[in-house]
Parts: sequence; C-alpha cells; structure tokens
Amino acid sequence: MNQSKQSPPIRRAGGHQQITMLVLRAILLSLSFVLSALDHSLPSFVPGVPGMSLGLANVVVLFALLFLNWKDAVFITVTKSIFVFFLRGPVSLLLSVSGGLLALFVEILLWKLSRGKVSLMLLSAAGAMSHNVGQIIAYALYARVAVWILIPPLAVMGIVSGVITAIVLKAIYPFMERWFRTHRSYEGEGTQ
Amino acid sequence: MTEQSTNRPVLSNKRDIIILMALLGVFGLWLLWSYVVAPALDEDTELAYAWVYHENTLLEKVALDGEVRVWNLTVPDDPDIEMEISSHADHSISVTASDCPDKVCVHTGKIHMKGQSIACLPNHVIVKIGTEEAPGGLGVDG
Repeated sequence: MNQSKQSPPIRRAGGHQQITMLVLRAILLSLSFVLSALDHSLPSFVPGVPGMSLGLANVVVLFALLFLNWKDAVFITVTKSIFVFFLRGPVSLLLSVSGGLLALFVEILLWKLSRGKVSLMLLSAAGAMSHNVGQIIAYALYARVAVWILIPPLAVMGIVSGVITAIVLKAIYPFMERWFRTHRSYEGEGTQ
Repeated sequence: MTEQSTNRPVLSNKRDIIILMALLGVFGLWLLWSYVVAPALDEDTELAYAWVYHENTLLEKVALDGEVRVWNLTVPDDPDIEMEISSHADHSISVTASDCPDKVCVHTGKIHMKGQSIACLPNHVIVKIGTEEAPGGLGVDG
C-alpha cells in the first residue's frame, strides 16, 4: 500500500523540475518588479525628456528570452506592466506595455532572423531603443504633443543602457548556464 | 539549455559594433542639432511662451522672460486637480508638484525650448512651449 502511494521516480523528477522552473520564473518576475520600481525612483537623466530611465528591468526580460522562451518573456513584460498599473496608474500601464511589447517584438525578431548570431550588445540596444520608441509613440498619441525632439536623447540613452544591459547579461551568463546544466530540466526549449 | 550551451551569444562582434556606432553617430548628431545648434541659432528670435492646456482648452499662456514665479494651476472644468507650476530665471518652466499617481510630469523637469512639452496624462494637462502666436513652435505635433 505504501508503494502505491508513492509517485514514480520519473514523475517525482518532473515535479521537481517544474517547481524549479516555477521558482525561477517567480524570482525573475519579482526582480523585474523591484528593478522597475528602482528605475522609476531615479531622477530623469536629461531634464525635459519624460521616461528617460536606464531600463533596468530589460535585463530580466532579455534573460528570460535567452534562457527560457519568448512566452515567459511576454509573461514577465505584461505582468510587470500590471504591477506598474497598481503602483502608478493607467497611463503608466499604457507606456510600460507599449514600450515593453515593442522591445520584446524587436528582440525576438532580431534573434530569430539572425538565428541566434546577433550579439548581446545589438540585441539589447535594439530592445532598449524600441522600448523608448514604443513609449514615446504611446505618449504622443495619448497627449497629442510634439515628440520629434524627444527621439534623439531617448535613442542615445537606449543605446547606452542597452550596452550596459548586455555587459550585465554577459557577466551572469556562465553562472546561469552552469545552473541550468546542474538542474538539466529545460532542454531545448530556449528562444531558438 | 543544450542548444544555448553550443550557441552562447557573444557580447559583441565587429559588424554589430559598426551598426551601433552608426546609430549612435546619427542620433548623436541629431541630438546635438536639436539641443545645442538649433537653440543657439534661434537665440536672437522671439521670446518663448508656455501654453498650458487642459483637454485642449487653453488655460494660460506664460511668457518665459526669466521672471521667477510659482503658482497653482486652476482648472475650471476640474477644480480637484492640484498642480504647481514654476517659471525659472533660466527662461524655463516646470511642473514642480502634482497630485497625479505617476509624477511623470514632475520628473520631466525644466523645459525651455520651442517644441518641448510636459504632459500630465492622468490630469489631462499639457504644457507646450511655442511662440507668442502658436504653441509647439516647431509645428510637429504628434
């Protein structure tokens, strides 16, 4: 009777793997919340340009895209935007989701088109620039204000923050690779 | 992860660095033109004005003549809106306090160039810088 109550070893291992991945997703989501809140608390880098931030949460989204899959990256982006809604209201939700989804779309497109050959710097910078572009398009449509003057500083900032994000990702890449190899739980389901 | 182990993305490569440098060059020059060269060329022309709107209704038009003032915005259609606007000695204007939840307008900081704007989207208040005759100066409203 005791034996019949026990799960088969393979199912036990599967459950463990699922829990491991669930915990990883929860950690990434929490991290994206914290980084997003931290980003917002910092003052604008250039006066007169709304939304000028480092885009720290982009590290987490890009990480999810590279190590998990695009669905997890979309999930983190959308859930982070909902968190932003509770924290700062519906307009911030609009800006967050428009920037986040455009950035993700460009990153996925670049990754797929280059078949994983694109460098982290270009991938991250393109994502950060698209994030800013998505935000100012939403801002312009909503507020009906001039936006051309905002494009150059946001684009330059996007490139700089994208390069910083890429360096951070490259630094943690070997550790995470080792972690995944140890847990051996998510073979072949990457962005590729 | 097997695939990622064999296909680890590189930090940078020559082609991508060239693309990034080209983008940085284009946007850097555009930035320099918009924020340094064009305002310098425009310096001797007419005084800039801040046009303050609530839902497309003009509330006030303020000359950015260097006079330091701090005032509370009065919105007849929505008296609950609480916003504090300041004009500064450097011919700029900023939203210094607002009851909106996101505070993007306050974080935007000072603006002084024609074509710049501050938008408090939750309160539907827009501050645009233009000339005495027209808001937005550059005429490139999105």
